[in-house]
Amino acid sequence: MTITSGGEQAQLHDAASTGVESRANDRSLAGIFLTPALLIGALIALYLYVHSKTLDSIEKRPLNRAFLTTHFIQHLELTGLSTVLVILTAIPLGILLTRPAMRRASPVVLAIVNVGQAVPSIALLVLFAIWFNVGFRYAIVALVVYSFLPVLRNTMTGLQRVDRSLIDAARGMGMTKPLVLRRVELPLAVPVMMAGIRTALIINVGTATLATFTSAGGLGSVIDVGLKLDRRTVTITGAVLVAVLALAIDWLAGLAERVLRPRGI
Amino acid sequence: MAEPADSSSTGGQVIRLEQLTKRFPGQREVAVEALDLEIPAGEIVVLVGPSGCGKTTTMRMVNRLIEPSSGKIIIGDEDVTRSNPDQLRRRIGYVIQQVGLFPHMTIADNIAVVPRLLGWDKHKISERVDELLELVGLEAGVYRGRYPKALSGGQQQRVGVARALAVDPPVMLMDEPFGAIDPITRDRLQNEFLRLQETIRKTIVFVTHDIHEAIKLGDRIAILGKGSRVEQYDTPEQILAHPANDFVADFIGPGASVRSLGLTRLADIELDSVPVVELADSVDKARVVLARTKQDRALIVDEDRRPRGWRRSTDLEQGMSSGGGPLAVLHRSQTVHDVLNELLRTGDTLAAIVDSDGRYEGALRLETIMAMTANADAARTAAADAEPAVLVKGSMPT
Ligand SMILES: Nc1ncnc2c1ncn2[C@@H]1O[C@H](COP(=O)(O)OP(=O)(O)OP(=O)(O)O)[C@@H](O)[C@H]1O
Ligand SMILES: [Mg+2]
Repeated sequence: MTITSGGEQAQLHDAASTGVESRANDRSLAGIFLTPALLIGALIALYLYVHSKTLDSIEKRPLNRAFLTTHFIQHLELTGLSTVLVILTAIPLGILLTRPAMRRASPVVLAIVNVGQAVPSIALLVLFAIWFNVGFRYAIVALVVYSFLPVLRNTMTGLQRVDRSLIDAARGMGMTKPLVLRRVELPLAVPVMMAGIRTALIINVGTATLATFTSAGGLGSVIDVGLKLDRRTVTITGAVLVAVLALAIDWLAGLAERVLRPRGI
Repeated sequence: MAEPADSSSTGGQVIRLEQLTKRFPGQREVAVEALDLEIPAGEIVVLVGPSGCGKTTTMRMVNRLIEPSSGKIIIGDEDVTRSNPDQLRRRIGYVIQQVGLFPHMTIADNIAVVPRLLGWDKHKISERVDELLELVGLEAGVYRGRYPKALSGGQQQRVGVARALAVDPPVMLMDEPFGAIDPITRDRLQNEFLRLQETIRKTIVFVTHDIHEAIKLGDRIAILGKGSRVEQYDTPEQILAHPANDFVADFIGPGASVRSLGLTRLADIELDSVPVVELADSVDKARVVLARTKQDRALIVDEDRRPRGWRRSTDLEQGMSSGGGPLAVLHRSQTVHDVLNELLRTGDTLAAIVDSDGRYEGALRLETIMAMTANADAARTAAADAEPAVLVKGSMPT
C-alpha cells in the first residue's frame, strides 16, 4: 500500500485494504452457476446425512420442517431488515457528509461509527440487550450499528471518487446540484456503494447467528439447541444452513452488483 | 468536420466584462482585478497568459461557475450577473480540457444533456444529436450508441464540442480544450474548429497558455498578466508586429517576426515582379527581355500562363523548353511563411505566385521576405524602447 497524504486518498486506500470496496466483479459465467450448484449439492448432502440417521425424540424436536423453517425465516428477517435499515440510513448520511457544507463533519461521524464496528459483535448484541431489552427489535438495532460503517464509508468513497471535472462539466451545462447528484454522482458511485452493501449483508447474515443469545431467534438457535442438548446432527444442520444461506446471499449480492453497475464504466 | 446543413445557427452575441473582479476568500492577491474587456459577437477571443494569471477564473465568471466579487458581465444586452446561474449556463456552451463526458452515458445521451434540461421532445433531440455528430465529423450511426471510453481522446473532445453546441448557444467558453491532446491530433482539431467556426459564428472565449494556439485560433488575443491585467488586446498580426510592452514581447518570445510571416497571406502583400516569357517565344525575345529589365532570369509560362521554369541569360542557348532547376510555385492564399519553407526546400531565392487558376500573378524574393521581418523587428524594438522598463515582470503597477 502506498503512503499518501490527504484524508480522501488515505481513506480510499483504507477502504480498499480492508477489502470493503472491491470484491470480484469479474466472475466468469461458469463461476456464476458454480456457486448455486455447490450450495444445492451441500443441501442435498445434508438432507441425505440427516436421513441416514435414526433420530431420537430430542433430535426430532428441532429437526423438523416447521422448526427449521421458522428459524430460517427469522434469520432472513434479521439479515434483510437490518440491511435495509442500514441502506436507508447510511446512504443518505454518506451523501450528506460528502456535500461541501457538511464535509468538515465527516471525520467526527466516521470516528463515532468506527466505534460501533470495532466493538465485537457479540458484545454489541449483549450490550443492546442490557441497555434496552432482549428480542428481535433490539437485535436489529445492534445489527444496524454493527454493519453501518461499510455502507457509510463506501458511499462516501464512491462519491468522493467521482472525477471532479465531470461535476464541473455537469454544473457548467446547467444541471442543478440535486440533478448532478442523481444523474452523475450516484450512478458513478454505484459499484463502490454496492460493494459496501454486500459487505454489510455478509456481516449481518453472520452476526444474526448470535442473535439467539438475546432471544431474537434465527438459525443460531438451531446450533445453540444442538450444542446444549449435545446432539451433533442438530448442530451440523444449523451450521450448514447458516453457511449455505450466507453464501447464497453473497452470491445474490454479487449478481446484483453486476446488474446494477452502470454500463460504460 | 463535415460541412453542416446547419442554417438555423443563431450566431454569436457580444460579451462585455466591466470592472470584473474576483478575490478568493483567504487569498492575499486578487485573482482578477477590475477587468474590462469587450468580446465582439461571432469572434474567437483567446485569453492567453502565464499560469495562474487568472484566465480560468475570468472565463468561469462568465457562466458564473465562479461568482464575481464585483463588476458586471453583459451578454448581448443582458446583465447576467443577475440571472439564475443554472438557467444561464444552459445558454452558454462549455468545453473543458478534461472533456468531462459522462462515462455511464452513451455519446447520444451525453450530447442530449442540455436539450433534455430544456425539455425538448425525443424526436427533436435525436435529430439534433445526429446533426451535431456529423457537424464535428463523427458518423452518427457509428458513434451515437457508444460509450465514451470506446472513443479516442480526439474523438472525445469532438463530442465535447458537439455537446456544448447542443442547444445552439450564442456563446461558447473553452478552457484549454485541446490541451490534453497529442500535437498532431491537436493541429487537426484546431483546423476543424476554425472551419466549424466559419459556419457557426459563435462568440467564443478560448483560454490557453500556448501562444502558438492563440495566434492560430484567435480573431483577437488578450494577453493577460498577473490578476488578469490586460497587457495587450489586439489581432494576432498586430500583437506579433507591435507588442505593446516587454511583457508581451517576452511572452510571444523570440521568432515572433518569423511567426508573423505565417499570418501574412500572399494575397495581402505587394508581390515582386519578374520578366516573363512564353514557352512559344523565341530565345532571342527572351534575351531582349532580360537585357531590357536588367534581370538575370525570366519565368517561362505556358499558353495558360502557368509557370514552367526559370531561364537564366547564361543557359538560354539550350533553348526554351529544357531544364531550368526546381521551381517554387505558391498559391495566393498561402502565407509568406509557406514561401519561406518552399524556398528552403528548393534551395532557391525566388518563388512564383499563382492565382486560383494556377496562372502567374507575381513573384516573391528572399530579400523581400527578409526586409519584411527586419521591419517587423524594428517596430518591435521601437515599441519596447518607447516603453522603458516600467513593467518588470511580476511586479504590477497599480
Ligand atoms: N477556488 C479557488 N480558491 C482560491 N484560489 C483560487 C481558486 N481558483 C483559482 N485560485 C487562484 O487564482 C489565481 C488564478 O487562477 P486561474 O486558475 O484562473 O489561473 P489560470 O490563468 O487559469 O492558470 P493556468 O494556466 O495554470 O490554468 C491563482 O493564483 C489561483 O491560485
Ligand atoms: Mg486555467
